[in-house]
This record gives sequence, structure tokens and C-alpha cells, in this order.
Amino acid sequence: MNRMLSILYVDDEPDIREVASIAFGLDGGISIRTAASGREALDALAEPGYRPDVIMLDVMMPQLDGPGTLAEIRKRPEVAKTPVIFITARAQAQETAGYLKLGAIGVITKPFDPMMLPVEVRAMVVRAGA
Amino acid sequence: MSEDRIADAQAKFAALRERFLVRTAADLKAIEAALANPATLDAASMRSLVHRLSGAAGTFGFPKLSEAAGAADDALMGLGGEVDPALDSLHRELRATLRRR
Repeated sequence: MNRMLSILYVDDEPDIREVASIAFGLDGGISIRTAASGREALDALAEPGYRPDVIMLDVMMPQLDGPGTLAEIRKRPEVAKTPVIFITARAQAQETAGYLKLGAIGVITKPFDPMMLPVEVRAMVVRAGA
Repeated sequence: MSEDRIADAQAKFAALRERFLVRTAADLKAIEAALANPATLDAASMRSLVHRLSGAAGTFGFPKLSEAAGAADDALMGLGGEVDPALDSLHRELRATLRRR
């Protein structure tokens, strides 16, 4: 049986957040919380007791983008080691390598197949031993 | 995954897809306005529009629209291609997508 996973999904695009919520709902073992910006994600992570197992960050967001949000997360000892997956519409090999170098455990390319999203994320978590 | 859960998710995806198409009709008008009067083109809001389209269109099952939006996104970001032809191509694909609806 799959382990329970709590995911914080961060994307400024409301349609994509809804798609992700529905997609992760297909996996009875995943709970998802969404945030519409990097700042909103950081506020959620500052809440006492909220410690997601995985954080998914859209790369391109206004104001605080995905890599910028990751940098802020790494400054916070209580969540610094939380595995991060980037979501991006630009997945050239060089860019993907750059995101992995920043410490992400994986990169998901938009557009993604919603039915496969939970499977892909679980596979990344397993591969990373997270 | 249970069949009921999959059917429920597919119904929800269909509703979101319909909403996406309604918004796409508004996007078409914005692009038509930009093409009609390039001097008033707000590059930042156009970039935001095409970037959103590029990610969402593919997820909702419109790969050609996603591709055209991605090319326009690249052109507006200065990563390749000319802006006007890319917007023209996106405009054609938007019209075709809405016609097929």
C-alpha cells in the first residue's frame, strides 16, 4: 500500500491548481493544499504544525517565482529539507538540470496528464528516497 | 483507483475544460486587439496570457494551441522567433479551437 503523502501545490494559475487538486484526489493516499503564489506558500509553511511531505512549485510565477520560493524555503530550518518538485512549461534539458541542481527531486512539464500526475509524483518521491 | 472516482474526476475535468474555453474566447479578443493595434501591445500582460495558455491548453487537451502559445511565449520572451508571426499563428489556432468546440 502506498504511504500517505501531504502535498503543497503552488501555482498562480487557478485552472491548473484545480486540475492538480482533482488529479491528486484520484489517489486516496494523497492530501493536497494549494497556494496561488510563492508568498502564500511561505505563509502556509509558517503555520505551526503544517509540514507537507512534498512541495510542488510552478517555476514562473509573478513576484516570487519557483526558484525564489525554494531559496526562501531553504532558509527556514523547519521546512528546509522538504522535497521540492518544480512544474514548468519550459523543460529544456539544460533548464531541468538547473532545477535539479537547485535541489529539486524532480521536474514536471506542463502540460501534464492529470490522470498520471499522482503516479509521477509518487515515483519521484520513491526515487529520491524522500 | 475506483471507477467511480475516475468518472467523478473526468466529469470535473470536463467542466474545467469548458470554463477554459469560455476564457479562451476572451483571450482571442485580447490577441485580436493587440494584432489590430501593435503600438498598444502591453508586452507583460500578453506574456502572462500566452504563458497561461501554453500550460493550460495542453492540460485540457489542446496540444496545437499549447504549442502555438508556447511559440508566442518564446517570441515575447526574446527566446526565439518573431512576435507578430507567432501571435498571428496563435490567433489562427485560437479561432480554430473555438470553431471546433
